[in-house]
Formats: sequence, structure tokens, C-alpha cells
Amino acid sequence: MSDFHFENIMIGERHELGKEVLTTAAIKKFAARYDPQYFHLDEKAASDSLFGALCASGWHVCALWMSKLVPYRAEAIFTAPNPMEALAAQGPSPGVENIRWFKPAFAGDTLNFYSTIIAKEDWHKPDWGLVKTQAEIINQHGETICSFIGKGLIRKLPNEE
Amino acid sequence: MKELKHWEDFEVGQVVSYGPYEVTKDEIIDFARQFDPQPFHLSEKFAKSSLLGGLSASGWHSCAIWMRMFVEGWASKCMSLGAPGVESVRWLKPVMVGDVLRGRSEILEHRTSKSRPWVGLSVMRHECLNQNDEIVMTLLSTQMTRVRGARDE
Repeated sequence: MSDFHFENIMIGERHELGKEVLTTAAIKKFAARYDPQYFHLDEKAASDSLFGALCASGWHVCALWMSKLVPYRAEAIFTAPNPMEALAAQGPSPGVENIRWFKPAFAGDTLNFYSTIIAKEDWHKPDWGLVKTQAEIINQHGETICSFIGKGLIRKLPNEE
Repeated sequence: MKELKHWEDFEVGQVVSYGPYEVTKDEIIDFARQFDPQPFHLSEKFAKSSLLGGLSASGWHSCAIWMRMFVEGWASKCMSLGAPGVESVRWLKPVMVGDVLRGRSEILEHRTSKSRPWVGLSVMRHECLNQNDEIVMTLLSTQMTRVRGARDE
């Protein structure tokens, strides 16, 4: 019932969030708006760059991870024994750490998105705890192309008094 | 056309400023639909009754907007080779509909790569501010820029 509170979050569980096939159109659409550098916009110029082919903005890859996490988490919350309580336990994120773009994400790649809870820490507000998750994005060759540590605030169980 | 800058043209302590960028309601909703479909980024009605009192942008959207400004203010003006990562992103304050953002970046460390001498590395601290001069987000990254004198391997 209170699985979604800080005290009951389990470290070590790896969640498979879903997958996405990257298209040239999606890469260019994101880049045109938010990261207009030639290796994200122009196939010809990108093939002469150090990346070797058109590739997605690193921020696009991170945003796609989020686009898989949100519905995955929503399903878990809304199928919980007490969805309103589970929802109320979710807090905002103060940020992310250690974003690494190991390899480019090319048009046509199939990206697989994973999340593993790796740490729980106290937060300066006593009603909340900080949960850290390892995000991984792995391509169709089994190569980890991107990883980062996500952070989220989760409500602690109410004091029984 | 002005010549693009190389790693040698920058130094520790240098600050680059960029922006402004006005964040609209339509853009917040559009980004949220694609990447972060949570009610406080999607529904004005929901957001008005929430703690923040209005629609706020996804943190990833703030990163994307910062990148746009940074490309215009830095990456498009130098021989940028991108960044291998970002050490930290801090979302300090929500970005709300109508906010006008701007940014500044300071070079904290400046050296060349040992293994690839044609790659210059600059550790930079970036701040994203709103129209009230509040810092809404900070980032710490290592930017790669081409070194003028060195040859490719």
C-alpha cells in the first residue's frame, strides 16, 4: 500500500522502460529547435565530422529517456493499491548528475531505455528523501551510448503520532 | 565572415553571455507532450491549482533551451567539437510560462587533451537566469574546441 514512499523504495531493481527507433526527421526536428549544430542537421556535413554520420543531440537522447520513464511510472502509480497516495509521494527532481554521451545516436538506431535505483539519501526537508537512479540508454548493438544519474524527491511515510 | 574561434582564443575566467529566450505556453506544452507528459507541464488548469500556481517547463526542456542559447552564444562562434557529457545539472527554480531566460558561462579550467592534442578542453560553469535575475538552473560541463596549431591524428 505504501510501496511508493521513500522507506519502501528498493535499491537495485532495474526497470526496462521501453524502446524507440530514432528517425532522421526526429533528429532534425529536435536539433533545429534546440541544438542547431551541423552534425545534428545535415547528413552530408555530418559524414565529414568526427561523428561520421547524422546523430541526435545528446539532450534529445536524454529527453527520450524521460518520455519512456513518465508513462512507465504512471502505469505503476495508477495500478497501485492506493493510486492517490502513490501519486502524492512523488516529488520534483532537483537535477541530474554525470551525464555521459559515450557514443553518438544515429538515425535508424533502436534505443533501449533502462532505469535502476542505486541510492537513497536524506534531504534537507525531513518529510522528503532523495532517490538516485542510474539511467542507461543502450543501442541495438548492446552499446551503452548514454548514461546519467537522475534524482527525485520522494515523500517519507507520515509519522504515526 | 568572421573567423571561428579556436581553443587558444579563450582563457580561464572568461565569461560568455547569451539569450534572451522567451518561454511560451505553447512551447512548454509541445515539449511536454513529446518528452515529459506530466500534468504540471501539460495542463494549465491543473497547474493553476498546484503549488507553483502555473504551468512550468520540464527540466529537460530547460536544458534544451539553454543548449539553444549556448549554441548561439558559444558553439556556433568557435570550432566546437561538442561535449562528452555534463557533470551536473541543477534545477533550482521552476521555469514558468512567460519567463525570459538568458545565460552566462565562465571558463574554470582550460587545457588540451593529452591523448588528442588537437582537442582543447574547457571546464565551464553555466548559469541560466530568468527576468528577475534569479538563477533557475546551473550546469557544469567540459566543452571541446579545436586547437589551432595542432594536427589531426
